Amino acid sequence: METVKAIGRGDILLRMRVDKLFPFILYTAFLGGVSIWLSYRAEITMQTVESNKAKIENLKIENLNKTCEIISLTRISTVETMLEDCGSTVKAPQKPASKIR
Amino acid sequence: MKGKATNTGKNKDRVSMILLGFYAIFLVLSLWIIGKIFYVQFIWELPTNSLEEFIPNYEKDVIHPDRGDILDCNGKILASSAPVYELRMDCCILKRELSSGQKIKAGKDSLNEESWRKGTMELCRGIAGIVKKGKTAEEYYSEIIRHRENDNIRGRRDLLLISDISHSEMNKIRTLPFYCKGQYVCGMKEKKSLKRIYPYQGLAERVIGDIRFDPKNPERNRSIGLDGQYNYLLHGKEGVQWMKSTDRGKAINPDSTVVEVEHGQDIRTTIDISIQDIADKAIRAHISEDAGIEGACAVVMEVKTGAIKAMANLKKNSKGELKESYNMAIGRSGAPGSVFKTATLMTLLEDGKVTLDTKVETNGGYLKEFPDLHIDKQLKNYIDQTGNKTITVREGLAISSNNVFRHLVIKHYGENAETIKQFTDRLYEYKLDGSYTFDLKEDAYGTSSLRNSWNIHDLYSTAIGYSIRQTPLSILTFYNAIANDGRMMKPYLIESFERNGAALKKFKPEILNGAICSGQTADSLTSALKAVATEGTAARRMKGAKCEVAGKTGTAWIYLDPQDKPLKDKPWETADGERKYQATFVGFFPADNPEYSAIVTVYTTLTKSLGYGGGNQPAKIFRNIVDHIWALEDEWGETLEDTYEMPYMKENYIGTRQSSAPMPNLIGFGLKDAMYALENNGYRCTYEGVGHVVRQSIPGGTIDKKNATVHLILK
Repeated sequence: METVKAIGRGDILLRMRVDKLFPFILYTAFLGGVSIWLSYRAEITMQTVESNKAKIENLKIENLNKTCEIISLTRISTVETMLEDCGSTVKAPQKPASKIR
Repeated sequence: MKGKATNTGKNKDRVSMILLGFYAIFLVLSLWIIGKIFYVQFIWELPTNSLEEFIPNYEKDVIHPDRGDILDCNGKILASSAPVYELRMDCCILKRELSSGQKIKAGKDSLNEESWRKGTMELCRGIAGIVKKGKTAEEYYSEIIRHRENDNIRGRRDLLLISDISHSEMNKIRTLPFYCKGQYVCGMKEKKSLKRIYPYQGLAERVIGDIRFDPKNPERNRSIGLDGQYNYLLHGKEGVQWMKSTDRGKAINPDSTVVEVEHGQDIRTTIDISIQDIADKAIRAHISEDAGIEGACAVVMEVKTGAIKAMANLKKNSKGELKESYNMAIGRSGAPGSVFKTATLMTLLEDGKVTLDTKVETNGGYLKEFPDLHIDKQLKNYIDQTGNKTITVREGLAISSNNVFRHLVIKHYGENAETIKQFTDRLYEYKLDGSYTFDLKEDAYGTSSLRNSWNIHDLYSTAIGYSIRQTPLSILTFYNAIANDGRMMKPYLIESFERNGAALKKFKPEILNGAICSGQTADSLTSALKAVATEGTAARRMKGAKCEVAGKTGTAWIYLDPQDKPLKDKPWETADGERKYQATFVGFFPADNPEYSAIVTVYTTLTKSLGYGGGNQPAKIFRNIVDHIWALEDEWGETLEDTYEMPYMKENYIGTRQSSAPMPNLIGFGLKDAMYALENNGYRCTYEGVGHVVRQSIPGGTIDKKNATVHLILK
């Protein structure tokens, strides 16, 4: 009955001596807030990671395409044909390179 | 005073009443919340159709592994994978809404049918400008509009506009303004797929291979070459992660389990793409114009290790174009013909039956033991030219006389079953039946094989390379053993399995037979094979080769397929006298210190011409390969001494010369860099010493006459 009256009076928490726990309640609330903030930051970081991954993938593909393009130009017969098309008289080596001792 | 106190008391009562009122409201609210929690927890039931609303929005993301690359021995990419895209169009997008006069909001703009068409036209112009190999902008646009306007055309909601769009092209398309409005406005959808890229186009195409898996057309599925055979390594393993959708897009759910993706391994082959290019080019140069040739293959092997440096297989298609459509080097076996005489000679030498100088009676060109058989034309020519009644074994091999070798084998091994077995056992020792595994498989026409039972007639034909079947690779393996002083190396094509440049598994050269013959026999055979290239059947083609070649020619008739309608008694000839030939040249170079062995085999179509022999096209191709490989090998180059007059290129070979360029300051340069700098500026040089330039006869910065010579002192 006293408890109901205390609820009615609004001093139930004081009666239960919860005011002693107030710093802990505040601290718990603070921790909760930090946790929510960290989750939010983690989510943003994960999204940044994903977007960087996509960028890296994009660059990797670009790099591969360029590498393949350049490699195809290193074929001796391709180089010879290109030189011929340019009107150059340079040919593939007719003898091995001389070595400097 | 009392009145003041009464006023204060009234104020306090009013404040406490207000607070009490607030308190009552919150109390009721909290009771309602507690009641609601109780209701939701114990009484309320979740409607089944809205279940997914309450489930967190996670989706499974399968991470596809990167397919491994195939590399040459120097790490150059032979095959890699990159995404390609196709653009599809929903031509009926927003058609109903816009045709009814409705205005659709698309970003800041509002769209009607006219502005949609205008945007589409701009998009088509943009695409046509980016993807050059496609159609014109007008063609794209008219196709889209035709599909939009005609309700009877099937597939108008998924019209393929353009395929094979590269990644960089797709990135540019994504920036086009109308495309940016999204799939539900512009109607365009992109579809990504992985495509195998071959930077060297058709080079070693059949060796590299490919894999095709089409569930809709299973008959088109195929799995060939290294790509097909090692798919399990190249493919890798899929990974799985769980993504959650957030306001800012998708991100990995950090609380979920993750299966790490395992990317495919790279395969480093023994192929040297420069040598492959040489072999490919040499074949094309000599057979593309000859209608009588069906195709040819060339294999180059490193003598000491058995590593395959090149494996070119070119076969003409119905249009007469040369394509790598079948790996003849490992998949097409046939009678080797005269190249087998070397195996016969090896056996005779090993058993001490003959030496290279042993004399054999020419017998007028006929075979002593079977005089009714047709005459040996090569031997007859020899008799006509020299008038000799005897011929040495060395000369017999050089002119590729059939009857000399038939006679020797029948004489020394034809006595009884035991002597025949002695001969055939030797052949098995040489692994001529190809009884070893190779890194690559091909749907074979027939594998190398030796007979199970032998009689004297088999000896008669086996001595000259008939009654047996061999693939070009197994013939080459045998000749490589001769070049390697009798040590037979297992041919191999894969050097290592790698990931990110680090070798996970390395393959070392393997020995098939430590000594198929003695060193002395190998030397004798080399000497005899050199005679073939200097005075025998290949002399005309090998004369003036950049380095000395030891090798053997061979020409064999091919047994005809039933569709060629061969004669019953002559299964290698048609009623019109047409035949198919397999012409081979196999050998090694430089003859005295061999680095490479190689085989070239040419296959003809049905022909009456007698111009297809091992000493003709195959020897020409071989010669071409030898000359070009020699020019590539630095080891075979001339060594310059400490003091040397530099050899100069002809004037027109120097493209960057400037007539009035100042003399570069070369102090501290290495000789190579100094020469490069000088020659590019139009100067010449002499030098002495070793190390770096410490003095130059013309100081840096001086402008001297063109071709002035500067003397460098190196320390």
